Amino acid sequence: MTISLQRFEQLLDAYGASPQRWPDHERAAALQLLAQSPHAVQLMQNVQWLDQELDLLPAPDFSHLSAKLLQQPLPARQKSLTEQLLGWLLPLQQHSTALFWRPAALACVPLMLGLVLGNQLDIFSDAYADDMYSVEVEETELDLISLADYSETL
Amino acid sequence: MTAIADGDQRVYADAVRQHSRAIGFYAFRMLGNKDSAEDIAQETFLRLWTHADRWRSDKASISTWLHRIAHNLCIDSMRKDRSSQTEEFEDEIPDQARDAELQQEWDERQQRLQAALMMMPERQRSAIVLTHYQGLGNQAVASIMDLSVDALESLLARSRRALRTMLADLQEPVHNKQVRLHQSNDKKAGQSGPGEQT
Repeated sequence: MTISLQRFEQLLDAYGASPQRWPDHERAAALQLLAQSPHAVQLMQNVQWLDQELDLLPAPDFSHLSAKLLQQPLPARQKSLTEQLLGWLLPLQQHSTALFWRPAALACVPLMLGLVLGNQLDIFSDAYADDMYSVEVEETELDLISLADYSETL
Repeated sequence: MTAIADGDQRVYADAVRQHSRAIGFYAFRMLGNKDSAEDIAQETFLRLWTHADRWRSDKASISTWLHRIAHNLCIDSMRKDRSSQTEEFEDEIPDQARDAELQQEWDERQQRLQAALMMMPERQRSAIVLTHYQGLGNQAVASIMDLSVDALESLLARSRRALRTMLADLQEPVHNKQVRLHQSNDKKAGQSGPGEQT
């Protein structure tokens, strides 16, 4: 890969004179151009002073900052309902018995629901059967009565 | 990060130890004030604790994600209170021995540079700080600032052009002065012992 002098100048304008700040994929080509072109060297020298100035700026000592931050009390994390459910269902402890019985308990929920619903349907069916039985009995009685009336007229 | 999202304080403490200085430096370069920088760092790591589940490893490294949080907090802070920062910045210049002519000149250069950075528009300043001082790659900086890489390059070029204009009169060989001052500082450090510890 090679880059043009114009692109090299753009790199210097944007990232300065330090090759470590140049984009990774263009660094090797830019350094190659720098080694070959006196004009590129001249361009580099023109912008170097700004990098040197920027490097002069001191920064305060932040070595104690992590200790200071770690002394601050951490707020309680607000977990969502889904997170809470998942946390209950799949506890982090690898050897906990809860890892087995909680998913099993959850799997039993639809089974129990099915049993309850099925039971409700049975009750409904019995009531319906009772109703149908009583209608049949009434019809039989009416038939017998009508036959009795007919026998009397003979 | 998953462990932090699950509430593991030890992993959180490791992340604080690893990244807090970089975040503190970034906030200081942006705000020019040590106390404000520490406040920004504190808020950044609180958000790490409370929002760790929002981090996506395929989108950004932890460092880039933390810088993005700090960047947004710094921009918010600067917009809330522009006037006080410049005043406070003056107090942050180390009170070094100003008797020596060389030291005085050195301090003036640093003040000029810091003042020039503080005068820049916040996005230009952030682009310079993230690339030059934080040492982040162009794609990470573009991600932090929510820009394309091309737009970042354009912003960086404008930033450096603005700095060159503001500091044009300093454009003289600084290397020799730097070496002389370091020699001078080394002598002083040898005489006065260790520096700031709070």
